[in-house]
Amino acid sequence: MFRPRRAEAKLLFFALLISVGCHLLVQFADSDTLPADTGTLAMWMTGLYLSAHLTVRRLAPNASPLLLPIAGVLTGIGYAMVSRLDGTNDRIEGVSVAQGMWIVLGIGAFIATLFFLRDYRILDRYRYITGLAGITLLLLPIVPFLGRTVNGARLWTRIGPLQFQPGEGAKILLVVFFASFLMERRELLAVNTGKIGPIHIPDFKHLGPILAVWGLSLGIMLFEKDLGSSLLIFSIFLSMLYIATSRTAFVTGGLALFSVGALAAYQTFNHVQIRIKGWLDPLNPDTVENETYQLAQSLFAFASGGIDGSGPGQGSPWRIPFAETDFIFASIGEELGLLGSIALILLYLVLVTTGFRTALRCSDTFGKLLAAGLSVALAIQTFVIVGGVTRLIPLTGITLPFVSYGGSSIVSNFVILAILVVVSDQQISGPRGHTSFFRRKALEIGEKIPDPLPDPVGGST
Amino acid sequence: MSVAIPLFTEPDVSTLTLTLAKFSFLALLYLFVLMTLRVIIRELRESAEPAGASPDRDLKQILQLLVLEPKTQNDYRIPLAHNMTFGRADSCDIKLDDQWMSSYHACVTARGDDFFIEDAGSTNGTYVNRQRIHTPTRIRRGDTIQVGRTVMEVVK
Repeated sequence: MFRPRRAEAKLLFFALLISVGCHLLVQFADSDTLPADTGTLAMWMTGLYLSAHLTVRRLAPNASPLLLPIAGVLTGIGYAMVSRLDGTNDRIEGVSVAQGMWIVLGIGAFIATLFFLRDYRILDRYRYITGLAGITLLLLPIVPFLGRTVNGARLWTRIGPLQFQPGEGAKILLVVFFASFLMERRELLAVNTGKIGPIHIPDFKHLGPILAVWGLSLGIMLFEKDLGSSLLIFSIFLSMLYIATSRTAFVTGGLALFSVGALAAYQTFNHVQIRIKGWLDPLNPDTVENETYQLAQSLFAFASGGIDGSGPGQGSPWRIPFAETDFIFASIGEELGLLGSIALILLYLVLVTTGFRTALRCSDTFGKLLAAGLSVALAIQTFVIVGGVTRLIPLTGITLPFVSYGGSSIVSNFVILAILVVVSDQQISGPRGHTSFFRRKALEIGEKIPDPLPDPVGGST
Repeated sequence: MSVAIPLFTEPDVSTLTLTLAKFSFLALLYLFVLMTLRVIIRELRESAEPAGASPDRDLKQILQLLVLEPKTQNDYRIPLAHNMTFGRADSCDIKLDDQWMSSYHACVTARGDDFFIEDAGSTNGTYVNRQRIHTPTRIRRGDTIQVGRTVMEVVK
């Protein structure tokens, strides 16, 4: 018989080996001696992975065994890469300590989510609050005194000593909102009752709120000049709409809308033009020293990495600006080569397909849409940034899930992981899993603790 | 920092060690990928096995609920399925217009070939063979189940 938790423990052990091994290799290449802090790191990593595993064992015993170990490998490699880049220039001084702290917080958020979200269907009950909270989070960076502009995009918020990107949290909230909303209206959205000119469309009454949220989030992000997240939310929205209604018309319509938006953005925003030109011709002698320097360095990194890479700690990925966040995949491409990059992409693929299988096997529509939406979010985010740094698509700066340096990203991705774990647990948990939810729901409707019926069978009919 | 490998000289020991370490690391990474694929295959096998939860199963093989009371619904048959909910609420899989039932009354789940019924915190309770149940209870052919005033028999 297949024991998911045993498989997870085994995979996590290998995840630990890979994480510590990668760190060890980096340090070894640097100094030729075994670094003293390896023991400490191994202990921290073991502690973190073990506590996450034990929490899953206790709270979600039937969850898919793949989710946590894959995230563990990605996080471990990411941490080794970030600490390898630490100190290579002034801007990235001390990032490894910060990243370590964020990973601890991320695992903490994972455990907390499992603990408080015993039943994901609770999320369905706060539909409009979730949507509103998502938009509020998106709006935060525009608020004077709170918002901060970093590298031309206004997507940071500072409250006291805390500085974070609210967009990362907003992403999760919007997926929850879309799932909840689409679950209720999907049948209504699948039929055409309204009409614009000759085109039949679903009733505007049902389409309205979701279009409003989408337009608002898109507008906010254009205003903040955060094209990456803007693209991400748009694709999540479109994919979920398609999954919920299975109407290709939404996809074609959405793509048309996207083309119009992209064209308009190209005409109006200078930085969009720079991105497109850089994508088409990154090695142009006029721009290679300034505007397309980053992308050119990224391509050089992949090229010098070759098939097997320079080996961890032996390349020169610090030449790429922002090698520790948006361009971490180029750093990995240089030091682990094509082989390492493909292994990483395969792991993302397995992670995302596990999410989709969770959605397919889930018994209720909300869970299906939630799991599918979160998987789509991970998939598109990975595609956009990996495609961006390898020059498959125009570059838009977003983080590589679990790997990139950055607190908001690490924490929010672990929350996404935890929600996927919860959904994948409840689809097969059988008799035990549903008790709490139904009992809670029944009690909330205001029913009394039952008096036994005198004679159950044969009452008057 | 960066170790350039000279093309026409003998690589020294440390370079060799590092290259070896690099390939072992890549091998470990691919081993992990293969392990995840193996888990996927096992998971797919597990779910492909004929279980009660599979919706495509031949209806004749599956247990059904035959309604006995109320008499007006006498011939109504409900094939059992995994995660089937009973109640008065619209969102229940089996919605029964029975004033004695709660909005969410009971839930049927499957484990392998076995079906279990579980009370969902209903007001008037769920009964299997006239016994009120408080834990998930296995149901077999010939059992009678009562939810609200609706009485059903488990048949093949």
